Amino acid sequence: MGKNKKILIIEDEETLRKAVKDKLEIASFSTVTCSDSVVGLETALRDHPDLILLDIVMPKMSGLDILKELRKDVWGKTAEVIMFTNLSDDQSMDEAKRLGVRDYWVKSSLRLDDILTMVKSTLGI
Amino acid sequence: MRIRRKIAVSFVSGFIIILSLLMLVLGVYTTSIIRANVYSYLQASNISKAEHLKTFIQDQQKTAVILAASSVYRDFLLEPINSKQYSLLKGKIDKRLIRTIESDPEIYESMIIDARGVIVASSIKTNEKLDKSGDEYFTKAKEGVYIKDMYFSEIDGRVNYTVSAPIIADDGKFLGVTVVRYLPEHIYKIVNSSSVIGQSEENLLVNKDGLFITPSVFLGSEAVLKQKDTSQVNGSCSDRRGIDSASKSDINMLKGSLASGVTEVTDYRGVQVVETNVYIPDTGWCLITKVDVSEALSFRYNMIWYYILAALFAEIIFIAVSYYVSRKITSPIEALHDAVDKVSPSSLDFKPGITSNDEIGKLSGAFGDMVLAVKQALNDTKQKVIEQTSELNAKTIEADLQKTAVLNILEDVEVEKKKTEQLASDLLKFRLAVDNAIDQVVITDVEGIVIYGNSAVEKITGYKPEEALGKKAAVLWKVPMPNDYYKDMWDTIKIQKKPFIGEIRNKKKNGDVYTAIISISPVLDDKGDIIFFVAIERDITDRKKNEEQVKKLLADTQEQAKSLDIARLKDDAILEGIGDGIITTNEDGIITLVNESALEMFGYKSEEMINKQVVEIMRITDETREEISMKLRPITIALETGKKTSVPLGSTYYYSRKDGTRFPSGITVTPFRLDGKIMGTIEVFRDITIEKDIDKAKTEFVSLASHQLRTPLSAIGWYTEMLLDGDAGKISVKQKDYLNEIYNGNKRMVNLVTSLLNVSRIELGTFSVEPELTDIREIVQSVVDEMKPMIVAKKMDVKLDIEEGLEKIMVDQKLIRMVYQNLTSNALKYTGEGGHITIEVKVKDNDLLSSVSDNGFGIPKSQQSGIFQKLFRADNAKTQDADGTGLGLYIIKSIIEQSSNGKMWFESIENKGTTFYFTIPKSGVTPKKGSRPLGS
Repeated sequence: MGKNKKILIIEDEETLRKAVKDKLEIASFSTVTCSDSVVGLETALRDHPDLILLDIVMPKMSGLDILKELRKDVWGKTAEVIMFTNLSDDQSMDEAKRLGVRDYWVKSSLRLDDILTMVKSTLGI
Repeated sequence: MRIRRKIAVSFVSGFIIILSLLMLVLGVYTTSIIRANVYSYLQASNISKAEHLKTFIQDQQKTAVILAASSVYRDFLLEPINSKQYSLLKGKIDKRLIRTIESDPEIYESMIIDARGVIVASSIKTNEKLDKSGDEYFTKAKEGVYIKDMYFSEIDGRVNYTVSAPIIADDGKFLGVTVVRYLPEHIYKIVNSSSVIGQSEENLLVNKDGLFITPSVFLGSEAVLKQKDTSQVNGSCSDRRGIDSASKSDINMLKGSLASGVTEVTDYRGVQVVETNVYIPDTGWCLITKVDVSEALSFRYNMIWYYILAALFAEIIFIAVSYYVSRKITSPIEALHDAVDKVSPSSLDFKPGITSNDEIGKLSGAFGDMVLAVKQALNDTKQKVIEQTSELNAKTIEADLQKTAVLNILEDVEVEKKKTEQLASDLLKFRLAVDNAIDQVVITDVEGIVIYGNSAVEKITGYKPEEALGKKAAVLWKVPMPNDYYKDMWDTIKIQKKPFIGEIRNKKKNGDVYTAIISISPVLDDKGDIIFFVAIERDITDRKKNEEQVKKLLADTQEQAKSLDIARLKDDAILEGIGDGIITTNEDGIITLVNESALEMFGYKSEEMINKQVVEIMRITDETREEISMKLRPITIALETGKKTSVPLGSTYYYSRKDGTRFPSGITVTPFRLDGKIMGTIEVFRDITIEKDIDKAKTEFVSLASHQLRTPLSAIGWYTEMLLDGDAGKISVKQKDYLNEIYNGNKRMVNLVTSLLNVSRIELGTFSVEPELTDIREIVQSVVDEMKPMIVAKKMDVKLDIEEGLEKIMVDQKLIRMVYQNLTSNALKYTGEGGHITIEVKVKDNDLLSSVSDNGFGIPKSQQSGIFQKLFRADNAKTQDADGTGLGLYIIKSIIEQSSNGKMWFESIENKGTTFYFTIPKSGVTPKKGSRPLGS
């Protein structure tokens, strides 16, 4: 059902990245993963995925920095982004909302099923 | 000429000579006194104005130094021009410069010049960027505070002078100069204040070029910086400018060597004046005070007229007196002359040689005549007189003797009679006096037997005088006293026959013992034998008692003073021993006491702090190094409100040490009162550097926990979930059971981490409150809906009792939801199957009162007090649900009471049920900006 939709996962924690990737692929989405934030940004700008799942706390560039760069790009301006984090603070949330993310979630309180539901509703499936 | 006139003329002329000499001396003396007075007035006025000026200038120098020491100026000049920080600081500095101008109407402009000499900031915007590197207020100020002489400003033509001070970096580098331009009006005022000597008095300030810098009385303000002072006073103050470098600002110097003497010179108008001058240190200015000689000494001419009038008056008096005296001297001579004329008119034998026409001449003639006549008569009568005289004498003596004898006898009789009468009356008076004396008077015979006692005997001893008569005094009143006492007494009065005086204890008729002062005197006859003893006694029992009381009181007072001393020593020791800084001030904020810890923290010596204004010596700045304004300082608030005041929650105040470094400080100021009036404050403070560090570490830990702990928890949760979903292949029932255990265990861990984070945010005060209009009914309904599965599983009966027409209320939805959720889930957990739960919401007074009640297990009485404590769990709760964290009630009570202005409480009976209540104000809760929300 989601075969033609491409999802980019930018997450530095391997275990989490793998879990999300596996879950999405079982649901027949095609995924690209990046553990490095800079590479992730380049990939997004090059491949133009249908949805980006973005971690906030990462070395080199934070998720928010990637989002800001993304929004400067013609395509990136309207790209769909869902942000995940384990760090909940008002400022990042406000900033992310201002930059137009679809959703902002704390990972540990989410089930993988919830992520799948969110991805599907974002992509209109 | 007659002798009388001769005497008068010589007396009067002598007097005139003396008087003239006297007037001459007096005239010279008066003139010198008047002159000395004028001089000293002039000098005193000059010095007093100079002191006033000097203090005024010193204040301005201080102002410049304080401005230059400002850390903001330093930071500003250290920033590279046009950096972001630079323009930020520039804004601050502009405000400050304007403030400086507003603080003093005499300040015309305040500016900052950088190290190149360019004005980088000024209260007069148009002057910014001007190059002032050549101006002496820049060049000279590099070495220290500098006062530039009065000048016409080339910018606006105003007369002004400047005070400038160098701005030095911490490493000693010269950064620039702060310059304050002053208008001279106040200086004019000081110089021209109250003239004391006369209308022609003039006070002038002259600069080092000799030009007037204050208006002249005669030429007006046109003279300023135009008219030159031409008077050449010896030791003019321009010679004394070297004193600046030698010994600055010593006021004694003004009175001593800086001041010139007073001299009379010709001033710039060509008028003769009395003048003095004094040099004003650091300024190059000379204060001249002068007055016209004609006015200053005019008083002298008036005085001379008074002297002449006085002399004329004295002359008239003296002429009259001398006339009278000469008359007095010559009148007896004239009288004698007349008498002699009458006695011997016929005899002409004696011819005197003196032929002068005056009284003496006449006397001489008369005397010669008389001598002859007397000689004649003497010879004739000599014999006859001798005979008759001796006869008469004999008769007269006899008669006189007889008469005298008779008179004497009569006289004696009369005197004796009077004496007797007198004696009788004296004795009566004496007796009455003794009888009624306050002191007890007793007379005994030689053996001590009472032969007389006055009325005081009864008053003092209780014996009537007649009862005492005939008794032995020693037996009657005696109480045991040391034997030596009586021995000594008898020895004194009986053997030595001298009076005895001492204190004695005697017995009254009723047995009471009293203390008395007694004096016993032996009365002796002509031969020296004792006739009787007189004892006079005064009861001093009361006095004795009083004395003892006074003594006791004195001892008590000393004892108290001693214990007060000890208490004070203890207080001192405690004060010195305390690690916190303690400072007391009086009601004006002057420091009265500083303990050792405070001195150590500040790096000051005791004498550098005592008696100083607390806000001056103890500077407070905030995180951004901005000075805390006077009215926000805890001490100001404490003195104004009379309440204990601390650093406001959420901010950190820093005290500056003597060396300029800072330390964060926890400050509490408590005012103390006497009879309701605030007498001063006690400030307790301590260095909270370590606490700040710990606080930071705690915040960092919270962040670490939330990120680092949650990552593995997410991994466990998600992989378990995939296994359970069969994503990795089919699993057996047993496997599914175990995986569910793992999954639930992980979920508990996630909840625990979230709760711990909430607790830490509550305690740090970093969570935010964002109220919005909320329908409480909706919230409650959704909470109950969420729990439907559990409600159904436990066959619970949940009833909602929400007041109809409840208005929407401003609350943070997430927080209020958490409260209902927690209370409802607790009720579900701790009530047996088929139980009843009621959630009630209604308006009560100004509050919205909510309650969640159940008929469940209840809370044991013994554990009710701990129910809201962190990590506390009741025993029966643990057995019912092992999963609880013990944090839920602690968190929701904090939400209600700390950030919603509400209250939370409960009622519970074990095995009957529990009701939790909470209120929130109808008016809603106030928003709070924090870094993190609760619950995520």
